[in-house]
Formats: sequence, structure tokens, C-alpha cells
Amino acid sequence: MLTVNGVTKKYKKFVANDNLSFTINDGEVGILLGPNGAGKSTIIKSIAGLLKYTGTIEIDGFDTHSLEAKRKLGYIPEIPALYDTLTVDEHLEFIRRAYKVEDVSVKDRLLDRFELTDKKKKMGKELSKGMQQKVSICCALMHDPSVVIFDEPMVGLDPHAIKELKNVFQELRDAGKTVLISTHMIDTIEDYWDVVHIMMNGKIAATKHNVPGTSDDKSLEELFFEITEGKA
Amino acid sequence: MLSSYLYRVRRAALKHPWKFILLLLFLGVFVIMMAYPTLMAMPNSDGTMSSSFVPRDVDVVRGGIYLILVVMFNFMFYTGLKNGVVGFSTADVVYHMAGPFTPRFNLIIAASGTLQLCMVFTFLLSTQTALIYNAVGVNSIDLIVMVIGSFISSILGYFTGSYFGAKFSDDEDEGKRKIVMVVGIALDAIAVGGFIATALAKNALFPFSAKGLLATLGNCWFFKAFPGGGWVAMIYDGIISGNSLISIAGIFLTAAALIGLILLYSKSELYYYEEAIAYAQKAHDLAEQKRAGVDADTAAMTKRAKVGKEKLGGGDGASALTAIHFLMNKRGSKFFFVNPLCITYRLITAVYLLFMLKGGSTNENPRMLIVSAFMMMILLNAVVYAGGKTVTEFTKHYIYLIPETSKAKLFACIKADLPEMAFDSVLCGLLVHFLVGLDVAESAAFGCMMIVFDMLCEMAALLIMRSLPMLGRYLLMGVRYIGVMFIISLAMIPVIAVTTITGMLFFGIIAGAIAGVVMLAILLPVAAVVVDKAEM
Repeated sequence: MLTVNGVTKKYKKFVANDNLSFTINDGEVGILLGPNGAGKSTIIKSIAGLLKYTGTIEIDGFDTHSLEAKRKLGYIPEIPALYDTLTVDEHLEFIRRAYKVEDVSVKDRLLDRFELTDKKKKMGKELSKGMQQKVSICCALMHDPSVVIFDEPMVGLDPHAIKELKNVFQELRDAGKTVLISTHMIDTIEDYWDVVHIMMNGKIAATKHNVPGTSDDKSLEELFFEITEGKA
Repeated sequence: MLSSYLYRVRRAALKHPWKFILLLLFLGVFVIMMAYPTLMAMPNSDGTMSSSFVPRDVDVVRGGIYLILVVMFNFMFYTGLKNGVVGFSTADVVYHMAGPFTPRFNLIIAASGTLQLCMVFTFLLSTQTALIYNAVGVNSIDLIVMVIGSFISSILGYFTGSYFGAKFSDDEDEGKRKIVMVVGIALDAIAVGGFIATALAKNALFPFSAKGLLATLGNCWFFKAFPGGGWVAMIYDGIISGNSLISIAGIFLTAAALIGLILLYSKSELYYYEEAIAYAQKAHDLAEQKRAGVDADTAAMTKRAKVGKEKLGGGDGASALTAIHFLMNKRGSKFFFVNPLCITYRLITAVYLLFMLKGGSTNENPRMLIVSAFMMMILLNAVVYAGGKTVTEFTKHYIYLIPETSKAKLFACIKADLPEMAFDSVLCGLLVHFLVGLDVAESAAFGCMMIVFDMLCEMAALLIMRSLPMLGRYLLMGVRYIGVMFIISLAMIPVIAVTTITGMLFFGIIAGAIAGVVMLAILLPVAAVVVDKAEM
């Protein structure tokens, strides 16, 4: 479970996140939706323990800066970051060792799933951006984290990888994991989400739950444009 | 944590076996450089001293060691203070900082990067052996101490600075970081002020003499007491001056500083991630710019550019490029349109010439320094112009889409560089007039020759960059500088030939400038064709 409570992050006088609070439960896919500059990446980085902030962020009850929390977290950044001179296989092996994953076969399963098996000997700098993003996702899933956060995960992926990634979201949810996805592309999230927080100017402007069998008067798209542009 | 980190480092290192060869080569060069004074001091076969022997003056050596160690400490301290804990890549941010590694463990990454930086500076210092030997008259042991001492004081300086940089990395703590900087500057001012006062008291300030000043500095307590650099220097100072108390004090203070730093880093709660992430992103951006052919210095300068009152002047078609380059030049400069690198590089040249002039043998004709002056100027200008806007402009796609002839676009870019080149050539002329002793006509001719050579640097680099893309970006960078230096060397042949034949440097310089113009007349049309035909 991911709990964000009263988080405020400032850069000098600029308030990037203003008293944010939300919870994503186990087995839920949460979406942070908002235009560029809404503060989505800032809260994602804060959850990953990369930033200082006021308020509390907990991953399965552990403070996000603690090692316990980091061991339970999988983080996929917006721009894939790989070591130039490590191969795909070596990246996964490094992560396997870092997280003390004993099952060596998990590497091959992930490589196979994301069609990277034939690229396992390629170095990070030799891969296209889409391939790098796939490696980044494999690294984040290697240690079977209980909370996975994705920052704009669809950018740069080919249609097959997008489809595969959407399957991953649903599988993670079915396995009882907590998933948080930050995106500004409404059309990519379709209906696999459980809760959407629409962010604007560092705040959560609206929250919408996806409850099967109920029909809201406004679609997600209508709600988004109403908030961001002031019109439906 | 450690085993996974070591696995990563080991696997990455094995991909670059040439780095080990390079390290061995560096070590070889280092040993030769350290042996240089011993070789110079070897007597002739008849038992007389070699003409290249420079006698050793212990006071001057002591002063030299204090100066170098304190300068290195300062340089690394401010680098650390400004940048905080550096050396992280964007991959480190994701896998180390967001991964199961503690902030303290992650400092290993910063430490290894810093050690590499210190080693590079130490190596660069060791390559200046001949200069130091001729200026000060050191022996090989002095040099080894200088280099090792610099390494230690660099580490002390860097980690002290980066501690405060990391400690006060928050925006709210910017004021505290400034206080640390002010304290550092105050210490520098006290040391320099104390030195001037000591020199005045001993009547050693005038006449201005590098050796005299260094000898005074060697006995100046303000430099001995200087934190870090001064303390390390005290160890050797005590040995060569026969004062064991100074050595003991130096050992005690250096050990205390090292232990203090270890305690500081291990005991305090440092949270430096935000600063480190910002630096990792900056380093990533610079690397991307470098891949596009921009030099590190130029890229760093561009990074500092800020929007001011400058406005985009007129210009249609190709001349729009001139206007946009003028705008970028003004934005990147703090002094009209002048490239800040140009002023920095000329200052380096001036200091170098002053050092050579005042530190060298007094019976040496200063005009002989023209070769060193020219080499230094052109080497630095090759960095500015072989990686400048004109060259990098033609690595971008959009310039090929502008519906003008390649010749017009090339000339439009060169036109925007002319004011910078002209200003730089005036500086070069002034330097050789006042420091090397060239007369007005010779200096003016030298300035003109520099403009021509600057353009040659540009054209040669452009031709190589556009016609040899198959070499790959890294090899291409090296080939570019070798090619530029080759073209300049060709243009220098007439300078040497005409000066030797006529016995007059003025005619030699004019001949060099004419040779440069002729080569430009050949290269410019070729470059215009090449940039048009080259594939991206």
C-alpha cells in the first residue's frame, strides 16, 4: 500500500506539490493524470525517495527514505537511464544482486516476456529508447516489488510493448500489488485503472474511482478538460 | 550492497581494456616527467654541468610547493562547494539512490569519481615538469612530493567543499553555502594579504621577481597555516629546511584533517540526493551536447547563458543565421559579444607568459617566448573555434532545410564569428607586444595572423566533421584536433622559413598570414561543397 499524506515540495518559492494526500491500496492501479508541469514527476520522485519534502510518504508502512521501503519499491523513470557500458543481461544481474534475488531464472523470464532475449548481450548505449525503457521496466520488476511506480511509461514504446505493459499493469493488480502510473495521455489509460487523481498546479484537483457497473455523469476526458481548461 | 556495486564496476571496466593501457602509458609519462630534473642535472662527459641544469634554491622550492598545494586545495574546494557531491549518472539515480543502497554507501560512487578527477589534475601537473624545473630549479624528489602533495590536498579540498555543498544543498540553505564561500575567500584574502605584508617587510615585493616572491612565500606563516594545502606542504617543508617541528605539525594537522573529514561524512546525516540528481542531469545534458560535437567548455558556457535584454536583429534567409548567432553570442557572454572562454584562455596565456618571463633565466631573450605564446594561443583557440557555433551548426538537421545555398549559410555563420575573432586577435597582439616584446608592427601582424588561423581552425574542423562521420563521434573529436593542428603546422612553415631567410619576424608573420589566407581560399569553397553533400 502506498500512502501519501500532506506532502509539500518547494523549489525556492515555487510550490511543485502542495499538500498532496492520497492512498493507493494493494491490488489497485492508481493514475496521476495532469498536464505538463502539474507536479506529477515531483511526487513520483518523492515517492521514490529521491527528494526532500514535508509530510509523509509510506510504502507498506515504511518511510520512503528507508531501506525497507526501497526494497519494496519498483521505480520506472520517465527517461530510461541505463549504464552505457553494461549489457542488458548485466543490468539485470546487477539488480538481482543488489536486491538479493535468489531465483536466477527471473532474469530470463523477464527478458523473454519483453522480447529482449536476443538483445541480452547488447550494451545500454546500443539500444533504442524504447528498448531502454523495456530494460528499465525489467529492472524495476526483477525483485517482485509490492509497490511499482511508473513515470510516463508509454513514451517511446512500440504498440506491442504498450500492449505488453498494459498486461503487466493488470497482472500486477491481480497479484495484489500497488501500481501508480503518472501520465498526461488520457487515451493510454483506458479502463485498467481503479482510481485517477487529476493534478493541476501541484494539487489534486479531482479524484475519480472506476467502479464497474456504475455510470458517472462525466467521462474521465470530460472531467480532465473541465479542470485543465475550464470547459468540458 | 558492495558485491553488486563491485560486480557492476568490474563488468563496466572489462569493456574498456584500452583504459588500462592508457593508465600504463600515463604512468610511463609520469615516471619520465618525474625523472626530468635528474636527467637535466646529469653532468657532461667532461664532468662539467650541463647547460640545461637549473640550480636548486631551497627557499624557492618551498615557496613553489606551498603555492601549488594551496592553489590545488582552493581549486578543488570551490569545485566541491559549487557542485556538491558529484560523480553520479542518471542510472545511479535510478538504481542506487532509488534502490536498496544507503546515502552513505552511495558516497563511494562520488568518491571514486572525485579520485579520478584528482588523478587527472595530478597528471596534468606532472606534465608541467619542464616548466616548473626551468622556473624553480626543483629536483625529482621535490617534484614527486609536489605531485603527491597536490593529490592529498586536492582530496582534502574537494571533500571539504563537497561536504558543505551537500550539507547546504537545499535552496533554503543557499545563504549558508554563501557564508562558507565567504569564509573561504576570507581565508584566501588573509593568506595573500599576509604574504604581501611579509614581502613588503622583507623588501621582496619590488622588483617583481617570481623567484624572489616564491622564496618569500616559502617562509610565509600565512601560507603554512593555510588549511589543507598549507598543512600538507609543511611536512616536506620541515624536511628540506631541517626543521622537524614544522614537519611534525604538518603531519599532525594533515592527519587531523583527514580523520575529521572521515568523521564528518560518516557521522552526519547527509541528504545530498537532490543536488546529486541535478548534477547527474547536467552531466547527462553535457554528454549529449558533446555527442553533437560541442566541446565541454563551450557546452558548460552555453549552460550558463541566461535571457537578458539582448534582441534578435534583422536578417532574412542565410543572414538570419548571422543574426541568431549574434544573439546567442551576446546571451552567452557577460562582456558584449565576447566569448568568455576567449578571455579566460587569454588570461591563462598571460599568466603562463608571465611565469616563463619572470621565472626563467634572466639572460634569455623574451622574444624567444613567441613560439610558446603562439602554441598556447592556437591550442586554446582550436578548442574554441574547432568546436564553435559554425562547426556545430552544420551537425544539425535544420540548417540543411533552410532554402539557401550552403555557401551563403556557411559565410553567414562565419560572419557572426568575426567580431569574437577580431577581439581575440587584439588581445593576442597586446599580449605579444607587452609580454613577449614584439614591436607594434609585429604585434599587429601577429593579431591578423591569429584571425586567419582561427578561421583555418574552423574550416579544418568543419571539413573533418562533415567528411569523416564514419569515424564515430569520439574518434572524430580526436581526429578533428589532429587535423586542425596539421593544417596550422602547414601554415607555420612559411613563418619559420621567411623569418630564417630574412632574419625579420615581421616578414615571417606576414608570410604565415598570407599562407593562411591561401589555405582558406582553398578550404572555404571545399567546405561549402562538403557541407552540402554530407549526409547527416
